[in-house]
Amino acid sequence: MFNMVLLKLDHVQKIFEANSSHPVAALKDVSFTVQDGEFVAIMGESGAGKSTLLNIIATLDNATNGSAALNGQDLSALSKDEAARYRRQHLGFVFQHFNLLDSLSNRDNVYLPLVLARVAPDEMDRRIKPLVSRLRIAKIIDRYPSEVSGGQQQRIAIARALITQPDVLLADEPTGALDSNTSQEILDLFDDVNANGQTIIMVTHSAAAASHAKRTLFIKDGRIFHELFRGDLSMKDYQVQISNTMMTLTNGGE
Amino acid sequence: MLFIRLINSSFKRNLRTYSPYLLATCMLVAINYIFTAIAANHSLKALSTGKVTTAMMKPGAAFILMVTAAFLLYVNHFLWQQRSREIGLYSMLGMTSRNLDLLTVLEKAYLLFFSLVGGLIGGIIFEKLAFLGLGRLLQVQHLRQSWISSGALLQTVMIFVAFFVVLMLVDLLKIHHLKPTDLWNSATATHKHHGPLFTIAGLIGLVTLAGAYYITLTTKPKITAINHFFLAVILVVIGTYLIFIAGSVILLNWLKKRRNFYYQPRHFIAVSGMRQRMEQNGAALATICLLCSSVLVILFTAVTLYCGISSTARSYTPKDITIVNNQPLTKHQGQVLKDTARQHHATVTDLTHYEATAPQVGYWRGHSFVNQGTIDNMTTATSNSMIFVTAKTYQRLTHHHTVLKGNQALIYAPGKKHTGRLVVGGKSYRVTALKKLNFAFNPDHAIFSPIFMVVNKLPKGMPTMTVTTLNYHLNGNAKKRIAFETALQQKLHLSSLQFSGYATIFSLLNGLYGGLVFIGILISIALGITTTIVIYFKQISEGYADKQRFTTMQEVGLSERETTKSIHSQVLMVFMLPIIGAIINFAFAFPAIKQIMTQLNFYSLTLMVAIAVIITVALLLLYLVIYGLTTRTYHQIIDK
Repeated sequence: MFNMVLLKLDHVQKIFEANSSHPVAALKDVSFTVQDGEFVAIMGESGAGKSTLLNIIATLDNATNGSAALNGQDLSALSKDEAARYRRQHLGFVFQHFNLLDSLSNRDNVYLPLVLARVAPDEMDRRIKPLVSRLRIAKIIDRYPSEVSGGQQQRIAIARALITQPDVLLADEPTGALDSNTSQEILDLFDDVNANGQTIIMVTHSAAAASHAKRTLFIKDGRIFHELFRGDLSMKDYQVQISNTMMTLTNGGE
Repeated sequence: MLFIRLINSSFKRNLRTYSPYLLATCMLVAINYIFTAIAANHSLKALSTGKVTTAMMKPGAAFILMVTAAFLLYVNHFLWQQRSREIGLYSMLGMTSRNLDLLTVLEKAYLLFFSLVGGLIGGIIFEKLAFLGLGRLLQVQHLRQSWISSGALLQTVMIFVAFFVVLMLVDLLKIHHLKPTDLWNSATATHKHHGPLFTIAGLIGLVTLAGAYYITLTTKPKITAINHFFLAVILVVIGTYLIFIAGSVILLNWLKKRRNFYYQPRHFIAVSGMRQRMEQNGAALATICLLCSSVLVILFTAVTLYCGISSTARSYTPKDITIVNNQPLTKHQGQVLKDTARQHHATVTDLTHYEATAPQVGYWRGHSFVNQGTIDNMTTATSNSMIFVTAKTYQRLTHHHTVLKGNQALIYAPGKKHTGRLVVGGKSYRVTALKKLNFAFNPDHAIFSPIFMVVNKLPKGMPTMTVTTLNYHLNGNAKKRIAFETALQQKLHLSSLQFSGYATIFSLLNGLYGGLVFIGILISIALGITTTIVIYFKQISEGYADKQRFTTMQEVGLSERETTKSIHSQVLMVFMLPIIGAIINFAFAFPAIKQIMTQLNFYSLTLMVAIAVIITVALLLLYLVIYGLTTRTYHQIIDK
């Protein structure tokens, strides 16, 4: 079913303050691939290196050693400005704290990446329409982020990430700041989006969130520790498996 | 002891906020002390013009006190916003409101103590310097000043203690009216929606400002000019606030509606960002704008007055001495002049006299001059005084060969152009304008600038006067010249309106305007300090707000360079707006000030323009330096 490699990480290593007397290795040796159309969750405890990994994929940071390539593009070869352009053409972001600009209306927040890409206003209107109905944000689209709830802000953030039709949607603890009901709604949206062919990579430490993914990677001490496929399991059974794996991870990896 | 440790650590952590604040309060304490100390100086009061100088100090001191109070309240509000999180944390950790009260009282006591100690030490040192400067401006050497003026010291301490007690009460009230969670959350900004009232406010702002500018542009040199000017000032204050608060947001909202303009990368971020900034900063920016405007106007007026002293004195007496009487010097008076001159070792030259009509005040209605009679009959419409001399007198005094036929006349009217047919006192003249008239002067010493008409025959029925003028040489300083002039006036039994001595008038005006310049400079310094701190704190709060935007914009796909550029251009625009507004205000104030200066017989437009340009450029440079320095702090916050 998945035949095209979208993302390929090869022996990625990230060392902070490499030249100091106390270098910190956030990532020691990470290799994995993501196929087009996959929904991958990356799990691990705080400090395991999840965020560093996501930052490297997001071109916000560079690997110290090894290579990361998206669609055949070596991410470390990009200059800062090229990386910015690359981000807005190929990547969509959803964050724990939504990161909407409070100076823009919700609609303008969604338009932001398109405006940066100099898309004509009429084309932007055309593109936002299907998203508005799919994400159920018609009522709040012309209000301001400070006037809507967290779950609604996250919907706006997802719309902003999707409107550029990115190669990969990167989500960093997308439900971390939301209550369980709202989290469920957002995760259902992710499923829906993925069913439409959108590749998603999600970093989380919630087993419930990870259970929506088709594959879960576990990171510990800067290495891939384990990998779980959902296969034909029900979401509930899959979640139990993930929880058990996390438990093992926490108890010292026996 | 825990509280003192907490306060100490809070001061250390917030050094970036507290140190400029303390510096500013120290300087304000110092300026307040300098003002009260000089106003209380005895040797100054003993001067002939000293009373005027001390009298002017009072409104000056009151103004500076007002600025100080407004500043302290503003900064206190800012400090509260910065500290509310900390206080919220203490409250959540279980501090009772009594503990928080104690913390606040301690904090204020600390600030007060350091402001007073630093400010008074600075004040005592700089008061000496300020006093020397004042002596120079007044051109007197024998001013004495003790090292410390205890009365002024006590007064300053009491005023500032009172200020801080008020601030403390404000903070205590705030603590008691807020829940811990509110304290915790008070930093989040909300979006505002504006109704039609807001649009009306913007329009009123526009109308008020236009009205103010109209007044300044049409101000005529009449007795009402100063009243008009103050009306314009009030309108400018209202207009500037409304325009900055409402007008700017209305304009930006309108820009947002133009989709093809708004949805372009550069405009998109700039317009929305500016809208938010103006929403949050409109009032502060208007305040900065008005502070800068007043610095410009005050400094300009004071410096122009000071530079105009000799031209004003010359307008009272073009030669060294001018005597206005109803007849030439009598034989006896001539003898008195000779004797007095000999006693004072003065040599009299160029003694001459001429006849002219006594000045008739009035105003212009089109091409005709409405004659109101003597100065006692003046009204609010009065703008000029009219004096006739004969062509013969003109030729004798200027050595210009002149023949006037019939109703031909020459006119000298500084600051106004007249040619062609004019009707004066019911009689019609065909006039040619004179650019210069070396004997023109202002016999009434009034604010109505004199017009001289050179005609064949003095009009019948008008009272006449005889003007006697002379120059004299005297080896010695201004003091000796004043002594000679005073003695001569006494011995001739002439009033001050009849007898004008250049040295005497110069020193009188010097005392008056020198004091004004001094007060103007001190007020400008006070305004400058407060403006700087307001800008500085604005930069800090902008910095904290921009930090989050900075990250988000980069994540969405703006490069670091684009982000920096866009945010900086907004910050620059926000900080340039007030100074541009101030320069516009000043440009419109200029014509009105010029008219008021005309009343004080100061006509040199080139000098006024030069002074205006120098002051504007100096302020602009200073402003940019302050901006540059505070931007560094901004960067430190952003890059952290």
